[in-house]
Amino acid sequence: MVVFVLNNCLRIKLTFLFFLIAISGQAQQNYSIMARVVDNNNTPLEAVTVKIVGTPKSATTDSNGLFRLSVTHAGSFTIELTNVGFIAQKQSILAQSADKVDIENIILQRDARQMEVVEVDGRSETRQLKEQGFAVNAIDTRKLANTTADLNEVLNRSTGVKVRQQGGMGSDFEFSVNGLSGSAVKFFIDGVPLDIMGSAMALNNIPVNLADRIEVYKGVAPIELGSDALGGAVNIVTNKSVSNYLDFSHSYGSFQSNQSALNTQYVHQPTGIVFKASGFFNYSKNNYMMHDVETVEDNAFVLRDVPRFNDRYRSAMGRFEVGLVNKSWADAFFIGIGYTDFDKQVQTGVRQSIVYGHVTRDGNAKALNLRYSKTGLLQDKLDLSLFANYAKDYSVVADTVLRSYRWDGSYMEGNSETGSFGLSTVDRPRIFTRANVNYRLFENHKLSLNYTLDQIENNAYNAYYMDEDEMPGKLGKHIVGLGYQHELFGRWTNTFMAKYYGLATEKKQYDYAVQGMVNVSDYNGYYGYGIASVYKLMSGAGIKASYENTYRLQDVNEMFGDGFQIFNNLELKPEASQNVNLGLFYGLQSGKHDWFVEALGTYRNVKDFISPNQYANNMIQYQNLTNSLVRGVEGEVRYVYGNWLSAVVNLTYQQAIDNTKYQKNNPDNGISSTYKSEIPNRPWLFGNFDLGLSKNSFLHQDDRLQFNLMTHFTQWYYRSWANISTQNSTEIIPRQLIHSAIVSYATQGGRYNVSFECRNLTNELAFDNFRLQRPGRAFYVKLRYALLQK
Amino acid sequence: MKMYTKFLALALVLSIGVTSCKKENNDAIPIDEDAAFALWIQVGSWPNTNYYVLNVEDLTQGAAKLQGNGIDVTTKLNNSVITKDGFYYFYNSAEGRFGKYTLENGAVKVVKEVPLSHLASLAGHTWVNNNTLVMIGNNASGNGVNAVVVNTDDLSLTTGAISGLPELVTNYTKYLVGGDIQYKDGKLFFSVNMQNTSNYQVYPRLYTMAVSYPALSVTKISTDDRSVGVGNTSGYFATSFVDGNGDMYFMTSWNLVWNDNGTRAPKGIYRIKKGEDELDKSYYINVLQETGKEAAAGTFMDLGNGKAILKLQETEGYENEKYGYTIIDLETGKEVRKLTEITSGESGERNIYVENGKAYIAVLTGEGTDYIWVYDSATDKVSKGLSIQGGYNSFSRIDKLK
Repeated sequence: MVVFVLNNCLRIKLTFLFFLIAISGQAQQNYSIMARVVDNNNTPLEAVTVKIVGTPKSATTDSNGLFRLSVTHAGSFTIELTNVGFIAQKQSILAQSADKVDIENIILQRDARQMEVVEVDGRSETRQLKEQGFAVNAIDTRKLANTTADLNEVLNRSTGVKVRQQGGMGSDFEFSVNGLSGSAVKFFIDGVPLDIMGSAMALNNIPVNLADRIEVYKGVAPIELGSDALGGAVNIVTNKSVSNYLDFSHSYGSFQSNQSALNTQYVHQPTGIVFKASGFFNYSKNNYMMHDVETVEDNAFVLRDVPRFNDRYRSAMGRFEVGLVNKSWADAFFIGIGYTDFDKQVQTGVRQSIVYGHVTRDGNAKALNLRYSKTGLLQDKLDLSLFANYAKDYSVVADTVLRSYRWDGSYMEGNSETGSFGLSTVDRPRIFTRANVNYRLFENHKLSLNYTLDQIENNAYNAYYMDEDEMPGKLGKHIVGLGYQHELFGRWTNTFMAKYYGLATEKKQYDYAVQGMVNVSDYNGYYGYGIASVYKLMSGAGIKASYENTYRLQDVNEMFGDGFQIFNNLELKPEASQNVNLGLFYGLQSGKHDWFVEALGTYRNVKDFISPNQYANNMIQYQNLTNSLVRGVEGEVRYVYGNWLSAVVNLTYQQAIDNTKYQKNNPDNGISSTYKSEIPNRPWLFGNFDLGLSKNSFLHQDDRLQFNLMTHFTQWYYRSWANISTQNSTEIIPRQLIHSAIVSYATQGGRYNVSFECRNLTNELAFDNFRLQRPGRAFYVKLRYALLQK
Repeated sequence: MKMYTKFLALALVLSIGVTSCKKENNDAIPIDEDAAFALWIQVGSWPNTNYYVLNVEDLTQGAAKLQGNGIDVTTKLNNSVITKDGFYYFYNSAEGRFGKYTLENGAVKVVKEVPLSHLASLAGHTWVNNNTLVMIGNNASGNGVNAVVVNTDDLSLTTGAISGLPELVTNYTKYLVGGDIQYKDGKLFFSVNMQNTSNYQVYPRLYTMAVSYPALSVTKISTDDRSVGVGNTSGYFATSFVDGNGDMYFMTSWNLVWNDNGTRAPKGIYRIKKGEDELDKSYYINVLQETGKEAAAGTFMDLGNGKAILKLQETEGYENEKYGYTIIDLETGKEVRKLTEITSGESGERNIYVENGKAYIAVLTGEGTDYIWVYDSATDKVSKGLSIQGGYNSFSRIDKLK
């Protein structure tokens, strides 16, 4: 049993939190937002939902069209008004003191053109995020709801992000933000780690319909995402509105691909009880054509075009939540359960010349969670949100035949396909809790506190030979973040952050001295800090800068090894990085023209990457062996004309330098020959061009036809160190230019949608890591029913 | 409007600026087509470690530089290759492929590749004659030893299994087989150990076998309990040889836990005399006792003149990364002397090439320039040979190409 450090300080904090909840009923709310909602004829509108953007707070208008929302402080708020048959609308409104009665009219336009409005409000919400001090990509995924894309494909079209996916649907991927990838990038859904819902929950299978928005924080992440995110954090934001909605879609396409998604919510207004359900189902044979791959004929290798034959993928997810909203003791209180399941065949190893014919990977996860939030405590100064989750994640790689497969599906008797014969099983119970507290000291000064406890037990064993892991490892991460944000002169906002990373590790190991298993454990603490600052030059334009000294904490196996072939290393340090961003943005709206331009420079100085050091005696030890320096510039221009034309072009350049001065970071070993050389096998220049054209009232009053053309460009890059190899042996991954097109038609104000999509329009040979081939031209059709408001 | 036009122009200039500073390839440097030797160098930090082969004409003098001259062999070969007469032979177990290759025009050229998946991995190899290669390795489940006989002229393969292996002891389910295989007196000689696959402990007995060729059946088993650990994989390492007298020598070098208290087996050198099928019971060198140093993983090579060169760890234990070299008198089993002239440093698996009584030893000094050290057993002198501009992970092998 691991005893995790729960120090006195923490106990006091928790007691304080519970005290705050207890006294919440006494909190006073001095300000409110109120208005009357009318139509063009000045007739009051009843049952219009009014929501304060960025909060769960909402109200509905009464028979006089009036609504009133209590808020915590004075100032301007953005509200969103939605009603069936009307254009959803966003606008700013000033909070007034409770005793003041000055009711303005808000006119809601009676129109069926809801699709257009989705674009308008999406633009404003994501743009608000971009105008923060953090370097962030904010992507409004509601605009993409009619596409068949998963979140990886959406993010791969944004600046600084490169997703290198190894094949078709459900295939493994490497997600990099400004040149840092792997465990350096952490993924969240509504601020909690995505993987607490199980390993099936990944960006390569979540349909776009489940997300409202995705935020990619580059290098510097807000403390609310309490995590050891060395290179960046991706946060998927789901629909938080307190209204009824139903969004169901199904798509069918090439390679027998089927994708269904459901996202729905029912609110019982009189009681405030809310039921939420979401789920997805993905299936694909992934039997796309492989070009010029080796098969065997007459005991010799020949090159042929053959379809993939062991790459079927299936995944499913279901989540159900029930709770209460807008109570005196809670803005939101939910209890939820979730289940994810995946089952995939594995076609290749790291190179496509390693062919698998019988390897599978499957798993499932169950999760139970509670969330609670309350704003306006302590005389409207304090907001609180709590989250707790227990999950059990299970996955197994099955490699149970002794065969050597070829691309035509034939095989010879041989070795285990992956080299690890059996059922490599991972069983991972996990407890995750998070508390976020915001305290407004006084106007324009805010304190934030975040505490995250993430405790994972890692059981890894070969179920073919044994029933359990005899040497499980336990890892407890305690991350405490303290933030202070202030706004000066109405245009300069600074966020100061300090973080404490506590790492408790424990593992069972065989000890020859006592001839039995013993527990080894350790506790280490590290401090990080950062700042994010934005200065608004004028409306819609500003300059921003951010810096963070951050860590990626060690893994249990990296620290303790396996007692046999991997030595322990209690001196192991976390991977550390100094991240700097400097950016500019400028937005201009004049008439029907709407421009937004942004540029960002990034700098990542990473030290002590953890990697295995191989000793001559077949022994390994994880050590802090390498450093790297990644510098980049990226820019994006967005242009929208009225409601029929939109265009986005972006370009990212990254230069990654091997900054390991001495071999294995040890001055005794002399200066490394690749010191200051460019690190190979990574894209260094890539960009996107998206063009959208749409026509409202195409056949009927309330319909809309939309056409999108998307182009993704990746410049060639070296497979290995270019300064060393001879010209004839230098391998290059060639330049790639992939186009996709979508036509979608929506009718009845976006309630019924149908879209046709063609990916890789020109059937270009596309590849990724180590030249693994990706699908060629593919077609999809998607049907979607979206009842946005009831 | 003007402002964002400027902004756009700036972004464009920036992007053009950064893209244009990249060349699609490095300057072409003429390749030494007449190169006599290939020096295998490992470069880069994980996961971008690559193998480059540097062709050099002379190991005894001059200077060489890897930059721009390294033949990147990473995607086709690794340093477990077998070499003979300027060709490389490589068994790729992950891809089920055996091939014959040359280095031409600064790149790896495939002469021929054929499907092969008969060995779990290459454990040992030996040459029966100039164009007949025998390779051995575990079968897929580890409970047997398979062999492949290769006609290296046309890459025709004959596969088989060794029959008559010593029976596995209870709880020990896997045979260990290694690079100690040699062809002597018309037979194959090699050893097996038995391993418990759940705690990796090895049964404390060495079984050395005479195996008929080409029938591949065990005809004689002799055992010894002073050491275990068959020789290291003979692609990567070199742990056995038949000397000029026709006597076979091999070193146990796998560093295995061989009893319940967790201690690891000592490394020892054994002999099978010409005309004999069994271990020479009177002959055993405990390397640590004889030299005062632990033998390094598998480099034990015949110098001729009744002498052998042996690589030693500078410090005991298993995290050692610095190596020294010593000369062993094969007949007496005594250490002649350590080559203390050679700067202690890191090295790769097979960083020694021996020819005509001379050993060419590539050592990483960590001081910017590394050297090939030349030991001449006739004069017992060490001299500095070729210098190489440094900063590499390791010198993995030295091969003679012609």
